[in-house]
Amino acid sequence: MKQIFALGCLLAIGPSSAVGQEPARIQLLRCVTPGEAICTELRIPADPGRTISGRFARTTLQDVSTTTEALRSPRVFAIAVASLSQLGRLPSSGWVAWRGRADSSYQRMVWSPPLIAMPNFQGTVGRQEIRADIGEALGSGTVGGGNRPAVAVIAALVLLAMWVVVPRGWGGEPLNALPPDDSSTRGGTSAGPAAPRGPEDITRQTARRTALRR
Amino acid sequence: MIRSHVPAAAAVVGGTAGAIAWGCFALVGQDGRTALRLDQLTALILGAAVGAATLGARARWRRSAIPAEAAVGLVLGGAGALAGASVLAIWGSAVSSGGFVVQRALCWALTAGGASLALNWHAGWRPSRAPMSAVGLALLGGVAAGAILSFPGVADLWQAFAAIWVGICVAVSCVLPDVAIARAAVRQLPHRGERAGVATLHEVLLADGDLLVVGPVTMVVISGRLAIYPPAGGVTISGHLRNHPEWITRRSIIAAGGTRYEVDPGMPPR
Repeated sequence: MKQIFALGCLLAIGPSSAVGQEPARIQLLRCVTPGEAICTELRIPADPGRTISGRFARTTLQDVSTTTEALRSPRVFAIAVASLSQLGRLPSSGWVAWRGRADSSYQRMVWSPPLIAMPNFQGTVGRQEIRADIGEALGSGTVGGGNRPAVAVIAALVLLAMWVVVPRGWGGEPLNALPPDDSSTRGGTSAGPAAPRGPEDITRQTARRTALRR
Repeated sequence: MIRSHVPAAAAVVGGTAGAIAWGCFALVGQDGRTALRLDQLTALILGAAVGAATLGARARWRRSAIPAEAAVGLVLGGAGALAGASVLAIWGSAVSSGGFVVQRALCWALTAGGASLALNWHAGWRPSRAPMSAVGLALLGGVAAGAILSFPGVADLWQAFAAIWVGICVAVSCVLPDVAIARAAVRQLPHRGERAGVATLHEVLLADGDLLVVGPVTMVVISGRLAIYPPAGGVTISGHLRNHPEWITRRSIIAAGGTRYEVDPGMPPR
């Protein structure tokens, strides 16, 4: 469990994008196994030297082929994370690599996950499509997103405990356990101020009527 | 203050609905939606599930129409949560960790608050119910849920607990106003050999002016006091046969039509 996975995320910007312009397509790629990566939508600035901003068009599973093309595009965005679940927690640091350049320098950027949902992964691409030095930087990676069954069991146990424990606190009040009234002849009632002769006399205008039926 | 089982039961139902909603989150997670759409769909599922469960359960506890109330809760809870989540999500995510946590907490708060607002509006927007206090409770619960989701470790786990927590807060915020203005609670006791449970709870909260018919017995809250009107043959109240209209001044058990009811008149008005 202590093993820290060397997962990485790659962001590929479509071929139509260029520095200084709004990119047309963005996918986040994560190395899952030595043979593939997962991609999703991500925000990135037109200028990779700045922090990520803006929103981009929806991508779908059909974009996998496009993603393969995108990997041949000049820019690739990479995020190194310890596990998939970390992507959903907080903004993560990433690096931009210039695929077409001889120098494999990276520029630091930030990935922000959704506010309520978990990050979305849309498809896979072959690792051979990823530039070798980036792949090495990201490591081989391991799937880190298989927590849901275990979490579901934990949540079910918590809720089962709630369903069982909460009604225990209510208990069934036995008739004889009720405290006696001030007057020994009156069980929990009092003549007090004279009660109205009929409920309709008082509530004809305002009463809400409801009923308990077995 | 009335001793009511409804808030605790609502917490259980709301938490369960939150967990079910979390299980449904996976249905929208793999088909290529943007972060904004993911947030909106997640909020919609959460609000709809909690709304339907809360209003449906409340209808069952009151013995009113469950499908109709659940449908209303489904629509209002989903719409309220969707509206709340959309307010902040359309501005995009902050990039600093601190700013992101604040933004996430606000987004969860608006989601919970929006659902609570819509559901409380349906329940009757009477100032005496203090609905804004209830919505405030949901907002605070949402802030806590946003913080929970940002806890270190497995985000999936914290998302589940955040959803459960929001479900609890929204559900409780929907029933607390009724408890706050209630002057009496009438609860059907389980039959011999049965155990009290959330699913079998039958409880009606009576505010001023409310009239309740329990078998042959009629109860009315008049100026904060609970009056009982026995039928012609009388009714057994805490073991004593009563034939005339009286005030219920302390917790009593009424046997009517083969069923026992616990009546809690709360504190009498001064």
